[in-house]
Amino acid sequence: MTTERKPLLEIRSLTTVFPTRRGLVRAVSGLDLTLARGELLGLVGESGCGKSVSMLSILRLVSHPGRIVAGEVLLEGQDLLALPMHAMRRVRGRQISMIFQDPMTTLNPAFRVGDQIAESLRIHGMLNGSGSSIWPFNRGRAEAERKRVVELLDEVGIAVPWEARKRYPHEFSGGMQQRALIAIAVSCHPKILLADEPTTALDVTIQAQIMDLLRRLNQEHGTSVILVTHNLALAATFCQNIAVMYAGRLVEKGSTDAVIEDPKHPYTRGLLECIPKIGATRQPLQPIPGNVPDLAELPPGCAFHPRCKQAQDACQEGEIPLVTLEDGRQVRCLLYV
Amino acid sequence: MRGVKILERLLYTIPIMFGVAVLVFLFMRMTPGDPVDIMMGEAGTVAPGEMEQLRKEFHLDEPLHVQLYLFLADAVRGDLGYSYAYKKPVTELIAEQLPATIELALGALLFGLIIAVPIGIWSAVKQYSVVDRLSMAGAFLGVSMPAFWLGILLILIFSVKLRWLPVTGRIDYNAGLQVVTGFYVLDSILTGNTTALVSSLKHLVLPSVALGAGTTAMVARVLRSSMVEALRQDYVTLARAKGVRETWVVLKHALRNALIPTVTVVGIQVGVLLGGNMIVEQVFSWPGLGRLAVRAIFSRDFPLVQGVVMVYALTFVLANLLVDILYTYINPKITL
Repeated sequence: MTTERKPLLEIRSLTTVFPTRRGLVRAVSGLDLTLARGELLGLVGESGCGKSVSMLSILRLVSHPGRIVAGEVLLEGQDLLALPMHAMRRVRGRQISMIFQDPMTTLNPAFRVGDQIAESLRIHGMLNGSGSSIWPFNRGRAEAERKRVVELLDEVGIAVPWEARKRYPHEFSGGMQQRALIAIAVSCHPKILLADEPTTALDVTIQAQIMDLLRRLNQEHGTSVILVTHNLALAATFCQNIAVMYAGRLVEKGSTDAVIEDPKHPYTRGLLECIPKIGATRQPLQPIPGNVPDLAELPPGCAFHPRCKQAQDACQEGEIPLVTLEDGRQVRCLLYV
Repeated sequence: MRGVKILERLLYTIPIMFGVAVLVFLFMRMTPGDPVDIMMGEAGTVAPGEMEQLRKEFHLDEPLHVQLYLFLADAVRGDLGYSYAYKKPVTELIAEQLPATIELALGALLFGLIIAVPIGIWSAVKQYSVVDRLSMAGAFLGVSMPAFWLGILLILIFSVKLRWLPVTGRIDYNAGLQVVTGFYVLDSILTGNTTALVSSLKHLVLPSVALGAGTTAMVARVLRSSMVEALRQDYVTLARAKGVRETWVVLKHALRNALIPTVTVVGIQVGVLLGGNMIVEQVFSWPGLGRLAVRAIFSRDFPLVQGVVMVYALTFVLANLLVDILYTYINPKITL
């Protein structure tokens, strides 16, 4: 039973940096995050707060010159950051999959959609125990592969899947492209799906369909999902738990209800005040004053203090610890220390 | 569908060739120098009336539009006239020399691609590394170096100093090659003549390098920059996120897309290699179309120049068509 209790994914003090001309930028700074089996976790924050880089860091896909300098990413207790590359490749797409922000540029324009799905199946040897390889060798396997590709396209809600598999990405609409990408992501039944702004580039109506699809995959296959979004309202409707990031750090994490009803961190509160409410009496939205800080020149102490209404002198110095409250909520703010 | 489009494109070559024929005819008539004068100058003493008779024979006494009409009417029937200088039908001369030119162009292209493709890919993957900087400096040199100078340099080093490779020609006279197609390398293989094969390959090396250096440099640079671009794209990150091996990320996902701009350049280069080899053929005494063209121009051999230029134009057009067809296979967004 102890293994069941252990979180599926545990990120410990993950730090990813990018050297720039103006100094070292800490895109992710000491991130701690856990994800349980079947959990839907929302990772929320403004653009540039390190959400995407955290997700890329989990799969060790941070592109040069960025690099992970500290921390652990434990998948069922095994540190992914310590794995040799060939073992890491078996995690990618098989244990942990990722869905990207811009479906139009993420599918490879030169290959048929069906072939791009089949590639994943082949790499991870998902077809009747055949070893992993890039090219199909026998007719039986090619047949099984076609069948599975059609099944997957059907599962993600693409109409006429046996025709669609022969299409090229540019012949798909944005929503269909994202569905195809989801088909690639779930093709090998991963335990975790990292969805990085999966609906940002899509129409609102398509957005709802894609979120429904993700929820269904979560319910039917028990896939855990981390939904990265700048849209707190979207995360609130979709996720059980919400984690809020600011300037590369986790500032608050708790159950969605708790975070929405009673936000603890002033930044979370600020974010909530920015969401317009349909039906509520007309009142002006309250934007958070100031701008997202430059990651190369972070203010000392709490990175949010220059924009915080409740800032005290003590906020300007030292490391602010992440405190766990009685209800299990985590907050990084001196108000709760 | 593709077949119909290809046929359509082939039909377009007819008006193009017509235009080329008219232009080259007019340009040749505009250049100073009279073919009969030049011919007679070589012959020494001239009997009275002989020049007039020659002019009549070659229809050079007719008004320009009649000459043009005669030329075009013959050309349509596949007769490009009779070379003044060689006293042979132009089509026959071209048929004799064209294989040599194509063989050299293919040699240069092969040399270029074998060198350029790995270098282009490698430099992009290891951007700003020593390998990248060295190969791009080399590519810069390759583009800037005139082919005739490189040719002479190669002859000096590999033929004169080291004596590894022959200086000129296509094959040793004592190789005993029985000509079948006119492509000596192919003929050697067809007739199973190893001596001739070795000899013809040896003769092909230096001209191919001299002719192909510019192409190599050009293709390497274009491939490198398009690979750098491709490796930055989201689909490359997706491929990695799927668990694709890095080798395949580069050689399949990135290269396939980087080939699109590269094929365009290769297509243009095929035309350049076929049509721009006059100097290299001259340096290596390569008995091809280029050398034929140079001689024809110096002797104002109107029909021969017209014929050679038309063949050049045709290869250009066909090379372009070939690239366009290839394009539809590489880039699914494009149809003919």
